[in-house]
Amino acid sequence: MDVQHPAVVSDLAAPPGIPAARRLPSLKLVVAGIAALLVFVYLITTAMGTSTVYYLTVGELKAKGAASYNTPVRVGGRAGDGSILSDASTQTLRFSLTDNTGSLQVVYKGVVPDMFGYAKDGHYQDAVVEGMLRPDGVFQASQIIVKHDASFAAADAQATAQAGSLPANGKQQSR
Amino acid sequence: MTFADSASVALGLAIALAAYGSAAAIVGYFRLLPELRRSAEHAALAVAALVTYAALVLFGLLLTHQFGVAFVAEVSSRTMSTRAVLSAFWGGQAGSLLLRTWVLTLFCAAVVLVHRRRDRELLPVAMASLCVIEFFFLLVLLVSADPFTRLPSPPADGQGLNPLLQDEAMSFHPPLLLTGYMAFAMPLAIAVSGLVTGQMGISWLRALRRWTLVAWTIQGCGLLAGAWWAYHVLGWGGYWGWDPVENVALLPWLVATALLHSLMVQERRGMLRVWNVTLVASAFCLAIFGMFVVGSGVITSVHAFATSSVGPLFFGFLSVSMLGLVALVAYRLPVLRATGQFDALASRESAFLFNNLLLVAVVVATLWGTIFPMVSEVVRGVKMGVGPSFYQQVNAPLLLALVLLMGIGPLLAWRRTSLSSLRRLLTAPVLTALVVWSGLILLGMRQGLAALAFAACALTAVAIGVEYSRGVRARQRGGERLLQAIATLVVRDRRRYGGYLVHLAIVLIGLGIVGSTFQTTSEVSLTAGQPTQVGRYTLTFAGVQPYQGAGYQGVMAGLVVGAGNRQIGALFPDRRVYVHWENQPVTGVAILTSRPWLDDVYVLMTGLADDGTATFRVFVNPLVSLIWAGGFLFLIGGVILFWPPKRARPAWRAVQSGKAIHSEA
Repeated sequence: MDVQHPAVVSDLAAPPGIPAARRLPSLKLVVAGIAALLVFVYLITTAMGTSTVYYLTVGELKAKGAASYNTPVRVGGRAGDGSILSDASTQTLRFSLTDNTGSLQVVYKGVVPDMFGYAKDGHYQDAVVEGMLRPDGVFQASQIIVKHDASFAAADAQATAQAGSLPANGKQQSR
Repeated sequence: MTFADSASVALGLAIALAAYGSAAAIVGYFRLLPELRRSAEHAALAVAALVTYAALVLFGLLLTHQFGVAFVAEVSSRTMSTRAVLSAFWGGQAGSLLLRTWVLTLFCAAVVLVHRRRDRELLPVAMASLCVIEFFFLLVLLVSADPFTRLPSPPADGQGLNPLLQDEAMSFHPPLLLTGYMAFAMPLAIAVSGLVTGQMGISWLRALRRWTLVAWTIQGCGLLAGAWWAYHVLGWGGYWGWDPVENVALLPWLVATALLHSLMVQERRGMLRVWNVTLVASAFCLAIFGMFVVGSGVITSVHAFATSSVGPLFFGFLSVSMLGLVALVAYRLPVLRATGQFDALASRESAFLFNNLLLVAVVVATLWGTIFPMVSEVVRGVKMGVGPSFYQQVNAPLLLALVLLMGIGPLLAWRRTSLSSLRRLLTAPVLTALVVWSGLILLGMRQGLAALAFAACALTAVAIGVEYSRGVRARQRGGERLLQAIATLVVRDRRRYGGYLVHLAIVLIGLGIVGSTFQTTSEVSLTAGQPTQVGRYTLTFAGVQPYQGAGYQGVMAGLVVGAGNRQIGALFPDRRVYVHWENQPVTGVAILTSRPWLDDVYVLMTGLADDGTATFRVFVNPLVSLIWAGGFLFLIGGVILFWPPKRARPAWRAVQSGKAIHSEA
């Protein structure tokens, strides 16, 4: 019979009779641990300080007005019909980004993602722009991210894993 | 009944058998009913067969263009190439879930077949756990993402896969990553088996290590394949963007990396027992979390997946798994107490401990950045997130320390190392690192961190070299030739020298990553025959040529690349317009790796005017090709590590039969 009784423990987890050492960690170890933790927390907080971005709607951005100049933000919406103007000689793209709270003039210089301006069912794909609002009220985008529509969204997770990175990525622009 | 319906029936049978299998295995184990246990094993194998049938049916439906099936109409079309049609299998939510379920059932069958012969006592509970996971995935498949749902009126042609997904890399990248995700179920099942039965000895450790290796190797290859795809297809000049969807795939792999190291400490010194089962459980939960994030749209990813009913199901499963695992570990805490203790700071086990702490720090930081938008919205009511620079700033020093540790750690002895032997072994690596560092600074490298990283890579590479040469020299004294000595060294001690190969692979990948931070980019408009200078390379635009591809119309540009007054190759970036996707042209990337500098000259055609003027974006990416070379070495190292040791087999039998006698007694 090849069945084993559960009570027959072939490899004992711990040798019986030898109580495991349960000593308090030394003071040195505790200090080192706390120091390491502090370094880690410091790393995280300094990095957060320089890389956080607010996600706003067009209306929220406009409501902030001057308070939001020169702060990096992310705004989602859809390029308005017929608003996309691209100047091939300077590689500059202008369009108006619209959501249900208003619309925003956007200017962008760089590689335009393949899917930007791709129309389906009579309207453009949703897009997210990252950048800053200029004092003249125009949004200077450093990055355009195209959201996939429902049929693409249904697409397999991993397959599209990097698809979103296809926009001119942060690497190309300085933040 | 149609073909598609028969697959639905197969899935229905499979879910019933999975439920039966888990119950029968548990009851058979605790009530000591070998017949029931064996019946459970057969059930698990039958589930694998049934789901394999369903998967083959879906391949068949795709290949024969059965657009009456909603999924087939959604992801494939008649104009797509056969290869693209086959990879459309995982081009949609339902198909990707079926793929995941399929590989899970195959893994479960593998566990049954392997542990039927060895470590039998692990099998019942492990199999029951796997059957429970199978049950969950089959449930999701049947309830919310059935790939075999039929349309009332079949369309003449399907919509087809998004052109970005019709690339060749689609044939291997998603299946690898999805398989990797699912493979974390196997180490979990072994761990649960040990926790439930209380048998966590050396054979349990070995099984745990081997199944973890499988998951870790597959997921590692999947991640690299993803990076390769991003680099070669998406055309933004990079390979990794710290997007949530990428991060969640990295997390379980990092945890498994930590586990593979700390398991050695448990094996040798009996320490870190609680830590190790926690790592196994975390790797599995992070894998489920990854699938949840990807399928639910809960975190604003640039991928912006639609919210689907899959999300809540995964979240529920994740919560239940986490609670159950915490309870199980708590229940077994007394058995998990350490039998050894740390003797000295300069010892192999403390190197492993540091390695674990650093890896876990990377995991915590990356997880924090990934879920931060969710946290800030819930806690402060403000939607905000962190950009790639967060991950770079936090992880760069941690990863640098890891590379250094990778060089030093293997030179340390277990328990304690004498400083004199350490000094002897470290002299060459440290000197090399100093030379590399000062050389780079003298050559004018301004990025201090990058110079340090190159130096750390040099130190580790030389340290690995030292280890190899020690072993090889010992063999050569025995009269072996160099290559023979290297081969026997690796074959005799696969774990050690295979591990060093993986370390070397990580060094290569590290060099590529650091090199790629020196990326330069420019944008040029050229008329036919016009040259341009980019860094040390001259690109001469030869002209454009329209061509016809499988399911698309393309325009290809030709550029001759020269360095100095030597011609080093040609680049053919293109733009493609796919049938059904006329509004979304696809920009094809062309890459040339220059020798001997190992720069990637990476070109995209971003615009083509009517007068024949073409606009190109040109990146020069130093050393990126080393990442792919490292990837291959990683795979080789992983396979060597996994390869069963030759001489252990007879010994195995002896142990097995010994045990059998023991249990009969």
